[in-house]
Amino acid sequence: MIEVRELSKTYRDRRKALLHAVEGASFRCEPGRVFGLIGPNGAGKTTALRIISTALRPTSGHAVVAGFDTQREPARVRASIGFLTANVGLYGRLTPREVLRFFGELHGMSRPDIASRTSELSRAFQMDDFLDRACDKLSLGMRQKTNIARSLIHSPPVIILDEPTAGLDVLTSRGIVEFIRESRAEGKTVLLSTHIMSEVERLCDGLAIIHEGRIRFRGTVEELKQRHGADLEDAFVGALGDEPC
Amino acid sequence: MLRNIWTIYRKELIDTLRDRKTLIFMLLLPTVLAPALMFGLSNFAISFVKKQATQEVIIAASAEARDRYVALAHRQFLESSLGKTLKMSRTGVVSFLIGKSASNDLEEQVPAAIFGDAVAYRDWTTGLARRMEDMAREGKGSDFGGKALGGAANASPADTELAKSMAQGVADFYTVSLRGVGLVRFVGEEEIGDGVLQEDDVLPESLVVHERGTAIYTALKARRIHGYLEVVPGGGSEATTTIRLFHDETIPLSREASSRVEKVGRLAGEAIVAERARERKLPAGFLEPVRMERGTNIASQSQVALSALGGMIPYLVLTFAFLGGLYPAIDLGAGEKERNTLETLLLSPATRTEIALGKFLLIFTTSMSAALLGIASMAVSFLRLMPDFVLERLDIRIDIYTALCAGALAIPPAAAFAGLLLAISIYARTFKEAQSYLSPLPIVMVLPASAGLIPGLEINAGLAMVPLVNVSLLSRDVLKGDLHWGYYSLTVLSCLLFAAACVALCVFMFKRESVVFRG
Repeated sequence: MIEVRELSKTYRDRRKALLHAVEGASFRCEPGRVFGLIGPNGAGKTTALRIISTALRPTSGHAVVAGFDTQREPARVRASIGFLTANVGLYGRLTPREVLRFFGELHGMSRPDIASRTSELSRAFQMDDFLDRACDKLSLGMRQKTNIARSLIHSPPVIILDEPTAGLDVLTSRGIVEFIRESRAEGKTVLLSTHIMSEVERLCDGLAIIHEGRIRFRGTVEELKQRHGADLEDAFVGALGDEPC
Repeated sequence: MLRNIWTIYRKELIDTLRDRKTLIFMLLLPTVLAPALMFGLSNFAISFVKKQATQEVIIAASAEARDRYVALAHRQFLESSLGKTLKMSRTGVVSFLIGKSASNDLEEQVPAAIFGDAVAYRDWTTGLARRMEDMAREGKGSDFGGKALGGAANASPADTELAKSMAQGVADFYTVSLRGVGLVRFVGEEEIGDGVLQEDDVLPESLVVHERGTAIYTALKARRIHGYLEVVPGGGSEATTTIRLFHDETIPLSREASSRVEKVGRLAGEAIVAERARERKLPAGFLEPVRMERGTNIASQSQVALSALGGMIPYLVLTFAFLGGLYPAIDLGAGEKERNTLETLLLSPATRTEIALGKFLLIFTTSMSAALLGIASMAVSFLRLMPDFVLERLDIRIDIYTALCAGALAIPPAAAFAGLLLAISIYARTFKEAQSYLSPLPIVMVLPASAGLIPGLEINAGLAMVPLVNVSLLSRDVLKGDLHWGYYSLTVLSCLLFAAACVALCVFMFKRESVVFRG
């Protein structure tokens, strides 16, 4: 489970002016559900996800992941999450198998467990053909699959995905969407950030719309449509004008 | 903790070893390029100097000046120990050797006085020695200088031996005694022509008053001659003879001509003074009131040479250690940021300390490897590539203990560099920025590396705690095989403390959002 309470993150820009990347954001993501954090570019989504994953510290507020406070027990939070950031890179001179082994070992897994989990993930994401090819030689889709597999090597109870299908072809995107569904079915908590409304509609059990660092809508897809119209894209644009909640 | 450090270290090692750029810096540069450049350059310089030494210089002179010069050179030669031996034994040989009454074929090559160039005459003298030996063995006389060498057809074994030793002596004389004096070919002064000054030519004061000034000037500038010799005897029998050689210091061979003539003049002067002192039965102390006795140095030739070479060691160790760690450090810090892999690593369960230590150890490994490979490669190259005469003179012997000491010297700077390079790299936003920060470091590094060259500055407990300066000072002693292990321990300690501070800084920066997400 992920619980975010009154989360704020403030930066100072080069002119020392305050910049509120996230301001008083609260939402809750339950196990066995996919929660969407939706917003336009620069809305504060990635900052919020980075706070939840312990990469950033909040200026105020709290985030609790799998029962651990991100500020007080960051190591436990890290061990409990699989985090895929947007534009994440890979070690180009290593193969996907070596990348998975590296992160598996950092998560304290044994060699046999890593091998077995690698086979499992390789089957799930159809990685067999490129599992032993240097990451530098992989296509964008192959790299994204490797990254997702890397974030899931330790079977985390909480999965945080920041735009996992951005720039991917339909087939690869479909595979990832299918994987998210399976994770939900397995009872995992999935926090998803995306721009693609069709994915929101198909996957998200609940969502929050964030704009200019503040949550504008919190509820289900149906509730959003009821409030701002049947077309999800129109509803999303409509929600951006809502008062922060 | 150790497991995670090892995991990170191993991953970085695999990643680094697959990187060609790292391999170039870590392996190729220290093992191949540096020795090739250093010894290739020194061999080139040696061959250049050798070539210049063996080159004939052309000096124009009147017949009178030439004969006076030859006479001076002759006296100088006779005064030398070999000259004395030969004079006592076979004056004809002496005459031949200095070209006064040389045999016909050599007369053509050596029209006047030839003194000594070891290299130029190596083959010639070897050939001559062999010829003399053969003739002595066959019991034939020689027509060298119109005198028989080695006796007549019934030469006694003693004469044969004498001829052989003389032949060897001749070879030695030319290869050793007068090394560097070099070959001079005289041409008549009429050969320099008249000469016409160009518009921008300015005749120097010394030539303005000379009746052939313009001709000498233009001949020198046109490089038809390398010098114009005048020998002016003094008024009385013991008056000073003046040797004047017009030459152009900006032209290498003209400079060489000046040097050769000056050397003959100096040696001849010394010989004449010695001869006069003998004639007047002056005591030996008159000419040499104080003598600094040689052979009092208790260090072996090898130790002296290794001690001198010790000054190079800090540069080699520090340079190779720095270069070996440079690229991996940039790649592991700024490179990870640029490739967007750092965030993923920081979000793994490994602590910041484990991550920093894993990376530090990898850079330490590459830095250390490069330094060790570099030292080994330079040592092997030195023994293989340096000319034989240099090695013979240096008489260098490196035992296992000395080699181990030199290797041990690489540990402290490798640790210090690994920490420093990693800290700077982590701070940098991009690969390029890290390169900009790190590029000036080699220049800064020269200062502590030079500490070993400061006369009288010896390692002590205080200096042993100053990173890099301690390595520089210790290295002087390393090749002598007397590394002070107490100071070495302090050196290691200080460099490890410095490295630990850098690693702590890395951990601190890993915790700083402003550094991790810089840019």
